[in-house]
Amino acid sequence: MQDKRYDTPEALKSLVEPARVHRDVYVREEIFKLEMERIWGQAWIYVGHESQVRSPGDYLTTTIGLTPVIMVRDMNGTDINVLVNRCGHRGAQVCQARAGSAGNGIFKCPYHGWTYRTDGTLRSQPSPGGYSDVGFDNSASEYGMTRVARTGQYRGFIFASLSAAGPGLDSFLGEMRDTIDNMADRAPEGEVEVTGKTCHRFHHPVNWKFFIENLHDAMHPMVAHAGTSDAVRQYLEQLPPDHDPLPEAEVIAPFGGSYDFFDKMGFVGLPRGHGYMGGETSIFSHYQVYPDYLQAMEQAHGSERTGEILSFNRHNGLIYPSCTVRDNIQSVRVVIPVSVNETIIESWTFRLKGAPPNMLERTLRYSRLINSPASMVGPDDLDCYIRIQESAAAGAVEWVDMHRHFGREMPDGERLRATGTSDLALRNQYSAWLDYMT
Amino acid sequence: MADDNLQEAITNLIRLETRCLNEADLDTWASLFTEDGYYWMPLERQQTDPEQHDSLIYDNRALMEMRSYNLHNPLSPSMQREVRSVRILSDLETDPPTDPDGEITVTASVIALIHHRRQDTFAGTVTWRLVQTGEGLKIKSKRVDLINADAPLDSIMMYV
Repeated sequence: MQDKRYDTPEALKSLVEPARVHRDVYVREEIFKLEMERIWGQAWIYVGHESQVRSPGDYLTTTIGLTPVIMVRDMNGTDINVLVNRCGHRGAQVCQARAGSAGNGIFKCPYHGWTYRTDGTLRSQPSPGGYSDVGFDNSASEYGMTRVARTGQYRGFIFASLSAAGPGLDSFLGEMRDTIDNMADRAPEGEVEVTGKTCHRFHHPVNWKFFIENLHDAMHPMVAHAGTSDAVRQYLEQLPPDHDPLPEAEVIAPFGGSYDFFDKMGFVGLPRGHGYMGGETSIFSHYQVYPDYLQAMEQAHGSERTGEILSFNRHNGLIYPSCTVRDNIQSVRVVIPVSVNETIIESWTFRLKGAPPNMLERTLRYSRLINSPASMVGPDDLDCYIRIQESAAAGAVEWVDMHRHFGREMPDGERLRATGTSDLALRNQYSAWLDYMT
Repeated sequence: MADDNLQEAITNLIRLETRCLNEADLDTWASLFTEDGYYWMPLERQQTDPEQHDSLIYDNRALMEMRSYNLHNPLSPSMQREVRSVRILSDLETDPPTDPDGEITVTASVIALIHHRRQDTFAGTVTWRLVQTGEGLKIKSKRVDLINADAPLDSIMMYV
């Protein structure tokens, strides 16, 4: 039997029904290529944080969809440019390091020595006589390192879009700006900065969508993470009754929370596939507030404003399709699609400027215990994605279900609200998926 | 070089530590560490502080024991497949303490093969800090610097 072709809007629409999605979205190369062009090539994609390129010439390399890019601090010290990481001559990637500094503000291609300024314009090529009077225009943009169509930032978080058309960054982010605001506001100095030069890079041998579909799947933690929360419980049980509180238990225990606990958090679906869990309560609700941190916050923001900031309790704010922000714990996870069945999930940790060191220790503890490829939580999620990926590729059954609490979502302005264990999060992502794809 | 008796005690401890991991006996393995001992796998080879930057693993005794409870617990999806592993150490070198009660630093190169869904290879350098205690020589810390700590990594299902 010949595979169905997805070359018309009707064919693509046939993949997504109101409460189920066809397995081809996870396994067909043709669909992946269209996603790179129509979703990853249109949406605002998270690139990095301005604290990663502090000085003129500092750069970071990453990708937007499959396009390799360089985020670089312009030599004017103010602008942050996002350039396609490709020499305008023969097309070799110019930078291989994940991060570095362009010496004297000059990028040099290692193949034939063409050089570029931090705004991507061509600066020079060796033995230039070969290009005079041969119909070559040194100032033509096609010979530069191309700047991506649009670059924008919100509170130091840099996004870029490969498309010149579409909503501006502020309207694209919409209510997700509140999540970014809350992360920065949690710093006594009102700013965050990335810690270290590297991050966890967790290789997922599965389609990119499984990771974001799992973010607000509140029916899985108490099952898929039962072994881990069981291990914490067993360890605590053999301690003397008057033992000190265990910071590791504070992080892991909520993953074994009840259905009721997750239902009460609620889910909010937003336009363009964005969404978040929680609001008033979240997986972080029972974290202790360190007295020295509280004091630093109250000195900076006053007690009323501090109360507002710290009671903002969202979990896993998804900025579809490229990143998810945990404002409460100061981590950002970034989705890097590689191929139809290969994805890298990067987890960056941030320091709250002006906060005592125990806050960064808490952030790092969370990242190691939940996000690290060597944690006891991330590998269990991934194991489940691999199981779905393999059966989707096998094809004995055509559809993947997303019926839970179907039709019970409640509109609230642009938002759709649902009980925490609803599959609304999945349905909301696929609604955006169809909008981008057709 | 440390004296012969001490060197033998050090070698025996490193052998036992390796064997415990090869046999997935995390209870005995954890007991080789001091009460305040830790296992550290940094994200950056130059990393000096596990509290200022993220790490792949930074486990105290509590976490070592939790991992022991979790290992092969069928409630954990990833643990429904057996984790088997073997480590090969070479280039073992000992820096004796400058005073009789001081810490002993031992370094080695390691290759670990961990079989789970498939077989993964991890390689790097190991640095142990050992101390004399009332119960004999113990591990105060074990640091593993993977040569590819900053690369995309699959699930790491066992200590290297």
